[in-house]
Amino acid sequence: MRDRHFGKIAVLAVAMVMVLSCVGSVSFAKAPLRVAMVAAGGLGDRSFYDSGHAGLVRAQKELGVVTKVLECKDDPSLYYDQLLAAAQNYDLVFIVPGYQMDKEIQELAPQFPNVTFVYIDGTIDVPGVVSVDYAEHEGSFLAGALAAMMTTRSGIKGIDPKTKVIGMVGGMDIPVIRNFLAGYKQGAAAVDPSVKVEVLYAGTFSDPAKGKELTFALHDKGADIVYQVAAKTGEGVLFASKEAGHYAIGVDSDQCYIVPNNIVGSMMKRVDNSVYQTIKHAVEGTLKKGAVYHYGIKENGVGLCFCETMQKVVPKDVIEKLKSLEEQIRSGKIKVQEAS
Amino acid sequence: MLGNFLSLALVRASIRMATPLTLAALGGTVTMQAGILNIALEGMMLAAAFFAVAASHFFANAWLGLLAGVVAATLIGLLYAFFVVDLKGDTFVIGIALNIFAAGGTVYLLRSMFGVKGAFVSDRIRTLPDISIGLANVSGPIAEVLDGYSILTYVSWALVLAFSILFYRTAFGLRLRAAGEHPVALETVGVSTRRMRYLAYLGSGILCGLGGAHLSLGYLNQFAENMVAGRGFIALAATIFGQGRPLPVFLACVLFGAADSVAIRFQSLGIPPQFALMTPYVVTTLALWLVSRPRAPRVKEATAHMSTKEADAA
Repeated sequence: MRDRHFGKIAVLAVAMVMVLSCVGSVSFAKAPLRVAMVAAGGLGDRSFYDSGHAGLVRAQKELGVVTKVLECKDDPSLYYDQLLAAAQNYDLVFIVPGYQMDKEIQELAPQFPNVTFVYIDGTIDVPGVVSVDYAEHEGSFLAGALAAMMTTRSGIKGIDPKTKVIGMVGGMDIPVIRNFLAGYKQGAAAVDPSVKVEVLYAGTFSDPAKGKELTFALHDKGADIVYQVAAKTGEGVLFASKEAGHYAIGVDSDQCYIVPNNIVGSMMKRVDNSVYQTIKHAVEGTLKKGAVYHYGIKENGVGLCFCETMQKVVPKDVIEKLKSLEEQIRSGKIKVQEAS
Repeated sequence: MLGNFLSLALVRASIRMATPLTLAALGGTVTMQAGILNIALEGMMLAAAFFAVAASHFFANAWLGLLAGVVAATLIGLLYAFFVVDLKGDTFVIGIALNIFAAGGTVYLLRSMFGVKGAFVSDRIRTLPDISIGLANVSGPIAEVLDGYSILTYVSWALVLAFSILFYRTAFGLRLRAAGEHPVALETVGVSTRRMRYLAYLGSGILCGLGGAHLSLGYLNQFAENMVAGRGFIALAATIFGQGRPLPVFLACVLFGAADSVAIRFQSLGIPPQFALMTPYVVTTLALWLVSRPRAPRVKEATAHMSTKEADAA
């Protein structure tokens, strides 16, 4: 009985795959480029995913491509199906962030040779897959320098110049977050080697209450400035800074507007720029399969926001110094190491 | 090192983290006394967290927010009661369904009402106040540990006391417990088991409503998708650990809250975060293992009684 059922199901599955893949491979040369973004999490993080979405929206307006966002809402069981759906119906598929779906990409990419997969935030060794790699350590270097300069500063409300401690809340202890930390530490050390960096991990990217508690714990250790690298968990970091009257550094998008009086800046990962650029390359026909694009400070892929809020809170000479550090990284004079 | 580790801040963090757990676990306690395991604590809290923020935003008033949260959780509680008590649905299946319903429903409403995804924040959201209980002038560690929490923290403490009295010192409490332990006896003295169970769900809804509203209005001032993040299930574990008695349940919540804040501080001691973050779950599992050994769960007994009663009625 069981075997017969299995046979039926198998035949059905194969038939379905065949039908679906036929549908998927039909392409119209003159139709606009169809672009999908598969998000491991969901839109509304006011950070990483929203930035990627902004790039799509811009491309839709300026380049006339068709776009679609497929969210997995942090449910790994959806990764495969959403990626499959994207591959079947779109020409260019962004995977945001790629490292969440390594296994799925390895399986699906070879099956869809006509689809260009773009691996956002890292590199992958699968033939044909385009990788977009950010130098988050370079941007975090500036965040670390900013925090170190601010924490030893006297005369700023909410900052005790005697405690030379800065903090960071990470979402999870994973390679990309360690890269943020590595840059943050190097930046702090470049300004003042005696500044100590304390880091705590939440183990989740979606629990703001936990982010808040972690931040309070860092405040207890004397950290007046806490860098959040934790998506929605990080919103708790921003609120905790506001409540305790200390300062935070935002991440990925410009988050200064969320707690304008208690934020010294945001380290932006310009997912929007890179998504837009990649689509532009694809439309112009210059996108090379299997290419790796690096987005560091030099390529305007990462960097501090230098927004109005930041200018209001941070003294002028600190801003000057940060701009000079940024210039030195751009010119290659300062080399920021990745996490080992 | 140790002095630094066992700081006042740690105690305060434990109390802060225990508050939403205590409120929800008291909600679980009320139904447990009536012989029902409430699986939907998580969903009730989530719905309350959402509607508390929504109403606080619309009316720019924290108290109306709190009320809306409580009402939302209570409605879910009554729905739960209807399915379980009247339609004789399986409490686990209905409870899980309601949790999923709350998770999906709040996300849907977040998008349709406020047009945002992920999280909702606005300047109009008013938060519940932190209050001083008059210890500000008293110096010393006791005052530092006990003063200046969100108002619902103190409410939760008062409720622990109130429910201890209600369950064991009043006629109502006796009837509620009878609905759980011996429904037939309760029916013989002319009290409706159905009514007692509905009241239990109602009380559970109110308490989870307070817990959820505390999370979104008392602790954070925003709603984020799935922001309860498993606290409803930790509260359920506390309910079972405390075997449905208010004081042990409260102590279990403080224990779990402490495990959470200790986990945070373990990281600073150089323990890898992956292991440090396991602490609350390891403590919860150990706690449940400890209590599950000696005695058979009461809930099963109660269901057995219920089915005999139903058989009689049929």
